[in-house]
Amino acid sequence: MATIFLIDDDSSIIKLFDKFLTILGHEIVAKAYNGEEAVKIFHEFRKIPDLILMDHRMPIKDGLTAAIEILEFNNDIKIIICSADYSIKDRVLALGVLHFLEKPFKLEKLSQLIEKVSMGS
Amino acid sequence: MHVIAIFGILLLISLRVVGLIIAIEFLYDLKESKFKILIMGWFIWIIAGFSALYLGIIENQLLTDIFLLINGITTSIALLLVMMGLFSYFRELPKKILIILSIIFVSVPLFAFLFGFYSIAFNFSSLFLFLILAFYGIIPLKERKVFKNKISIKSYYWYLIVLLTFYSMTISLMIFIFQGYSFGFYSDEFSIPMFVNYFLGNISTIALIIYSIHLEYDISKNQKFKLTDKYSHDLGNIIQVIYSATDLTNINDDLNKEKAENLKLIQKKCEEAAKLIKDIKKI
Repeated sequence: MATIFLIDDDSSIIKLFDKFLTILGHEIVAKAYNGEEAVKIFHEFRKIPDLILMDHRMPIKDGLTAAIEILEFNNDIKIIICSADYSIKDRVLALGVLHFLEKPFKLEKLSQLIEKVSMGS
Repeated sequence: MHVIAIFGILLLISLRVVGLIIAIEFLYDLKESKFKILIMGWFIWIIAGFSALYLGIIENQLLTDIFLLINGITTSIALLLVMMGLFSYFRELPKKILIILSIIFVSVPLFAFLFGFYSIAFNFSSLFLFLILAFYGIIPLKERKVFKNKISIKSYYWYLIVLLTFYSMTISLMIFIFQGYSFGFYSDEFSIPMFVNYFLGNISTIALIIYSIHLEYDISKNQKFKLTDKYSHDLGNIIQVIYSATDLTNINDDLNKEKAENLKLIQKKCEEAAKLIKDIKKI
C-alpha cells in the first residue's frame, strides 16, 4: 500500500480523499492546503511519500508551480494532479508529472490509478 | 475656408463623436478605467475639430492665432490621451508620465504664444504630435510578442493599419509645415497636400475606431473566458465533493434498496453535471 501526500485548498475534498484512501489501506502521511505549504512540508519529509495527489488552482502558490519546485528538489517523486483545469494537462505532463486526473471523477477511477502507479513502482 | 477643409473637418468631428460614443459604451459595458482616458481623448479631439472649424469663420488675426493655438494644443492632448488609452490595453499606464506630458503639451506652446513666438507655439504642438505617434508606434512594434500575447492577431493587424495611416498623415503634416500651407483655413485655393491631409486624417480616425472596437472585443472575450474557467473549475470541485461523498457512503454503509437508489440518482446527476462542465469549457 502507498504512502500519500494530499494537497488541495478544498478541505472537504481532502477529508473525503483521506477517508477513501485510508479505507483502501493507503497511508496519508501529510496534508497541505496550498502550493507553498506543500513545498515547505515536502522539504521537511524524512521519508519521501510514494505519491503526491495535488490540486492545481490553489491560493498563494498553484499546483503547477509547486510541482515544478517539488520535482526540482526530488525528480523521482510521483505526482498526480487532480484538477478541473483541463487546459493545464499538457503543461503538467511535460513537466514530469505522472498523471493528470480531470475533476470531477469517481473515486473508483482514483483507486485504479493509484493501484496502477503503485504497481509501476 | 476651402470647401474640402470644411467637409474634411466636419467628417472628422462626426467620426470623433462616434469614437466618443463607442468609448462611453465600452466604459458602461466593461467598467475598465482605461476607457475614461479614451473618453477624455475623444472629447478633447471633438473640441479640436470645432476650433479648426471656427478658424474659417473669424477674420480677426489675434482670434485666429488664439484658435490656432487652441487647435494645436487640443489636438496634441487628445491624441496623447487616445493613444495612451489604447496603449494601456497591453501595458500598465504610467499615470505620472501622462500628467507630466499633458502639462508640457499645454504649457510650452502657451508660454511661447504669450511671449509672442507664434510659429514656435504652433510648431511645438505639431512636434508633440509627431513624438506621440513615433513613441506609440515604435514600442508595440519593438515588443511584438508582448503586444500579440495581450491582444488578438486581428487587433494587431488593425494596429498596423492605424500606424500606417498615422505615419502617412505625419508626412503630409510635415509637408504642410515646411511648405507653409494653411490646412485650407485661410485660403479658398485647392492644394493636393490639403486634400491628402484631410483624406488621411479621416481614414486614420476610421482605422482607430475599428482598432478600438477590436480591442474591446478582446477584453470582453478574455472576461468571458476567465468567467467560464472560474465557474467550470469551482463547479468541478463542488461536484467532486458530492461524487466522492456518495461513493464513500456506498462503501461504508449497508444501504437499503431505497437509499441505494437515491444515491444512484445523485451519482447519475453528478455525471450529467460533469458532462455539462465539459461543454461549458468548450465555450
